[in-house]
Amino acid sequence: MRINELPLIMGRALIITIIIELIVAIIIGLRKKDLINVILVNIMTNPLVVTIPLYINIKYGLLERNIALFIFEILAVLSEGFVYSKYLKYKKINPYVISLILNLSSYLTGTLINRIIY
Amino acid sequence: MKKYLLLILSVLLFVPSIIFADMGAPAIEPYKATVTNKNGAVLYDKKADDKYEATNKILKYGETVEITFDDEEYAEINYTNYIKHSDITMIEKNYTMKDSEWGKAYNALVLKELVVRTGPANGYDKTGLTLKPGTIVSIREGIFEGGSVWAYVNYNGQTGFIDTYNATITLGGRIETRVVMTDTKIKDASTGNEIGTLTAGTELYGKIYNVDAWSHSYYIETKDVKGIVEKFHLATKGKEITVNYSGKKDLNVYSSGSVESTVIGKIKPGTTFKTNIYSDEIMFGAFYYDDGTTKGWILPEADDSEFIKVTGKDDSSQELEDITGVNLFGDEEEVTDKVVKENPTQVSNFNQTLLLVVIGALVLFIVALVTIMLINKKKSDY
Repeated sequence: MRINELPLIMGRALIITIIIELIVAIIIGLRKKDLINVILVNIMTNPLVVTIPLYINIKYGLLERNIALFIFEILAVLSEGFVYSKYLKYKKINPYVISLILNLSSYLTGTLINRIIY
Repeated sequence: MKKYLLLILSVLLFVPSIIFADMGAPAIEPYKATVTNKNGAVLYDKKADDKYEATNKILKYGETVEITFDDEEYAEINYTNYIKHSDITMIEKNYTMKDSEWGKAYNALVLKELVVRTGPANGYDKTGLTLKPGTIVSIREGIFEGGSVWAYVNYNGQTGFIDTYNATITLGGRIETRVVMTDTKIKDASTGNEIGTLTAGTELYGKIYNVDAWSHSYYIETKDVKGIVEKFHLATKGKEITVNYSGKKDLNVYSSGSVESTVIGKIKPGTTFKTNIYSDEIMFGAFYYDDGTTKGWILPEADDSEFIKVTGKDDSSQELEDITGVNLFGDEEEVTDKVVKENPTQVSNFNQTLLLVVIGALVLFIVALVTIMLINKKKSDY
């Protein structure tokens, strides 16, 4: 990967994540403004989760990158859950659980799609 | 509450396994290829013993794939399955070399027979040039992200690209002294056959070369030995120091620089002795002990390091870690940084771009958060 391809790769990852999470969010029962919040929350966290571990990988190494990725994934779930708890109108499921479900879905679905295609 | 805790716990266990399953690997610049076998292309899995096993998946004639790694015979599709080179054809066969992606040239020694190609992957055509072991060439390592295993080579004006994976070529080195910490085999660089053994305590003075980052080996050339040695058996000799042991129980002396070796002697509390510090990538701060009778290794990682103090000329003591923090990883980082350090402009551009991207992500975070707050001023539940 060339460094100047990074924004394109990030953009692609963000779009795919948003699409998958929107689909799952609709299945769960989120509607209207809540779906906009789902999009915005991913714009908020996804680029950071992608770029900072990459930066750490280049500067320090793979082990540090994996640790950073683990921490940032957890932080992403928690921060998204926090935003959902503050602003989601949908109250049937705990907002942190929603965050966890959406994040897990986007990761697992992406992996599954990859395997089916290839 | 219990359900949520269980869910969180399973994620905490699940996420690291995903992440750690995606450990870094040698990389190439990905390229696209088309399936040109009219009967389709069988997909293969790579087994733990590096053998390829056919699956029941077949790609259709004309399908386009992205190749993320390859060897002479097989190409990896998007970090998952493998396909034979004979079943595909690269779409863009003309590689355009960007000068900023390749480091400064330096001399290297060819260790194995190497086919030179027109681009940095096995999918590119051969140039017709094959380099023999022992040839000195000029190389430029790929410095783009991903840890490229390919290098640009120039041999008497003939140029191309070579695969540096699996210790095919030396990648920077130094003339220095290394000490063998544990008994280890030495292998012939071109054939991989064992040609001898190095015993613990042996001092090697000569050329110590890095090879690729994944072989975990050095290529060494001294007046007595020449060959490939695994990294973790060689340590860099540090400065001579005086050490005092003030623990309550006897300190072990080991037969080699490994805690699994035999204890061959004991040092009494209160003993002061002169030694050198030895450091390598996994065992730092080992001391060699020789009192004329017992010759072996003291391993602070194993035994009571807090009682082992280095004493200076003015009798002030230093903590062990202050000393062993120096030269902890030997010279590898210096050598692998060599190309990058000699190209400050390239490094600067790379670092600037990376930093800009991280800043961009932070800005997006703030903008998105503010937007969320603004559009959600009025709340109503459903």
